[in-house]
Amino acid sequence: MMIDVRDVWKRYPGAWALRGVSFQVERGRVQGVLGENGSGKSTLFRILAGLTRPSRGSAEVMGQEVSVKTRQHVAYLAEINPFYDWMKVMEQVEFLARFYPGWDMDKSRELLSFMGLDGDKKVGALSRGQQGRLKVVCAFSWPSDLVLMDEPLSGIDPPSRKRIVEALFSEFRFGEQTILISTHLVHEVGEFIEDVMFMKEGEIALSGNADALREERGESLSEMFEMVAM
Amino acid sequence: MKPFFALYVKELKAHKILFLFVLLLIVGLNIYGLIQIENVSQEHIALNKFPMAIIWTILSAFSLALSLPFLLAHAFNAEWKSETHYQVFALPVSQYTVNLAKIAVVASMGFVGGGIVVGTFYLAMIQIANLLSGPKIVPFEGKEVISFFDFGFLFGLILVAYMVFSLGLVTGMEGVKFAVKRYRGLTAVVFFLIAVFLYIRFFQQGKVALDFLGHISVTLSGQIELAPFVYTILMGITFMIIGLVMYEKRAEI
Repeated sequence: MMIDVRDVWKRYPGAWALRGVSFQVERGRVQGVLGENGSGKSTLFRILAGLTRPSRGSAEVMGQEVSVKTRQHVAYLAEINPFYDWMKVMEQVEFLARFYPGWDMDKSRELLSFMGLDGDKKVGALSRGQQGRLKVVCAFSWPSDLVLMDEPLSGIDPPSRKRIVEALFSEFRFGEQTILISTHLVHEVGEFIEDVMFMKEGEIALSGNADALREERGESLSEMFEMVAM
Repeated sequence: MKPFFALYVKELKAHKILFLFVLLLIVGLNIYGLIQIENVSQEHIALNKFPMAIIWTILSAFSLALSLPFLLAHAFNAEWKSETHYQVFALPVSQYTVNLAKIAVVASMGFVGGGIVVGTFYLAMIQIANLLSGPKIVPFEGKEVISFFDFGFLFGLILVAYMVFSLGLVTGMEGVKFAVKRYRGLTAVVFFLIAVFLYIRFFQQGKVALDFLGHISVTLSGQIELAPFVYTILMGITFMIIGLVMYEKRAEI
């Protein structure tokens, strides 16, 4: 089991972000986490990445409670662009490479070129979309066991999104990496999602195998997303 | 060691402008001080007045002392302000490593700045000594030239005690600040007040308890009691540990 989340609750001042979320993800699967803003997706990702702790319940990655040890196996793309403005693009990549033993610099260069990013440019000079691309470069430059992508396409221009998503899943994914992806742009990643989980107000409103749900309900993932959001 | 070094270099580069500014300020004040000492007259010294020109070197030491805690606080807060803490928290290293790298960078700056101040102060003293024909210099008990190593040791002891205490205090403040979700500024201020109160409250007891450490002889000022320095260092380490543990265990996004 790659992810095992059991009855996770998370409280922030004044509100519960997660209310008893439980789910499992098998190794090598692509799991979509869909939901409106404030549904608890980002909190869930942050818990799995070890950035925050559950108020109650347990979250395990590769059979271990989330900790520094599990972070060695997890590539996390935050919903924001967490880069150092003063670094050059390649400097930022090299900085991260020092923390992950399997980092492949050749692949980093290949990804930078594919994303149209100049390694000598300052991160601060990149547009929001370009920083979004840099997040993808950093996440797929090393063979992590789990990739957590929280709104990975936000800020990237629509014509490029489809091309990037296709390349990630077909070309740049390391073997059987497990991928957890949250997005509003269901139609652009829908075909790659194997399992899906719809979240609403900190709870799982609907979940299951994406194909089985489509067949069972006669709806596309986008239609289910809208239905759950209502 | 590799991640620590990477974080150390990152911190150094991230705040290089500020660090350079402080160092240049110290160098500037010291050079100005040395130039001023050239103008000190023998009559002035003969009147047994401590040459005012030396004040620039003292001022540079105070500038350094004041800047260090602020530089460390800045290093902590800049990460959260720029949202790069997302990247740092996701790294496969503990927050102990991350924060110790911040402290190490500021301490390194303290040592470099301290070295400049000690060197300049010594040069100033030599210059003043050379101005005099007789032994009536500043009260150095008949010695014409102070021992550089003695002076360096004394200054080093003061610097280390001050740095450990002040950086420990700041680490403690930042640790408890980010360990809570609300009233962060207030929490840091309360920690500061409690820490300073405890330091003062137990100073005498601490000195007595550490009295067994004895004294060391320094040419410059005779016998130096070690207990107050060690007590200050121990309190600083305590505050630092509190901050590091709180940050590691409680800080989250």
